[in-house]
Amino acid sequence: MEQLPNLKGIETRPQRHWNADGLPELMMGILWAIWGVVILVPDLLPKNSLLNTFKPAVFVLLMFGGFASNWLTRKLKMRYSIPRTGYVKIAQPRGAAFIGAIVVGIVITMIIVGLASFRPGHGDLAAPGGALLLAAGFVVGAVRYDMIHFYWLAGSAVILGVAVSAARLNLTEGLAAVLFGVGIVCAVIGAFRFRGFLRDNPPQTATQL
Amino acid sequence: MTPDRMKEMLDVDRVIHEPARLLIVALLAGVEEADFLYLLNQSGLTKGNLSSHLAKLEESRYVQIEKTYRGKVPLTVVQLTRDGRVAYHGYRKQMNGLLSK
Repeated sequence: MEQLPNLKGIETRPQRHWNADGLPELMMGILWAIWGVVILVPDLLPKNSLLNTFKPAVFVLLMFGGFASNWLTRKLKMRYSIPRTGYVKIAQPRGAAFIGAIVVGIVITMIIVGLASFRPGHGDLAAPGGALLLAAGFVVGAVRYDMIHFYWLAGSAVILGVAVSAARLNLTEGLAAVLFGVGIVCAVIGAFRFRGFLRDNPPQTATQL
Repeated sequence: MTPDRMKEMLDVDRVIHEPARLLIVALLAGVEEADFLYLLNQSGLTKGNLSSHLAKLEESRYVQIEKTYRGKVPLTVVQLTRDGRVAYHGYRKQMNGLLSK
């Protein structure tokens, strides 16, 4: 029987295109590595120090870092990727997809909070659990968008989760280790992909009809 | 083949049914907007071919084309209109139905 072309595959190409230059992985990796270091700061501040009043600023800084990374990724894409392979604006999830994304976010948060409070005073299951959830997210991305390198990221998250669990780190240390470790792997993969992208795609000027 | 099915086959949207235009519309269906260079790279069509198919799609009001500049660089941004999205999903549904019978 005659088959329709794989239209679903064509529709998911933009997501692969968005990740083709490695910039999202590079920037996300750098951000996670920085987060991994920054979340340790409140614990390192001396007790009874005036600096403790700035603790909440650390969390604002973490959030701001996320927005800044997103902005910087777009700026770098504008400078390096768009002149090479073209501009595309990914459709934002709407309707059922949007609600589904929120539900997944809530479920993940609840699992991590649940794991953190499962053993009060220790909280040492949250970081390995978070690492496994992260790995699951990478596997979903790898399958859905056919991006093989996401398996490497998933593998690194699993290894770090196991290592953090074996080392019996507390919640903050565990999360810091997972974020820093996965962040470095992600940034290195992103950097290699970005270098390959620049080599394989010279700038083009044909952007007008 | 039943007369109903034959009529259904003849009712297929000819604008989208053409392979190059189907590819363009499918590429645009997954995005909010894309530029000419992206479509050129992804479709593998020549510039002239892509231009003529986009003109045909614009004529049918399936795509909206905006010529703009990013800095000093000319940029042609294309997006699927609501009509285009409806037509594309209708076409998919119709073809899936026809080919699975």
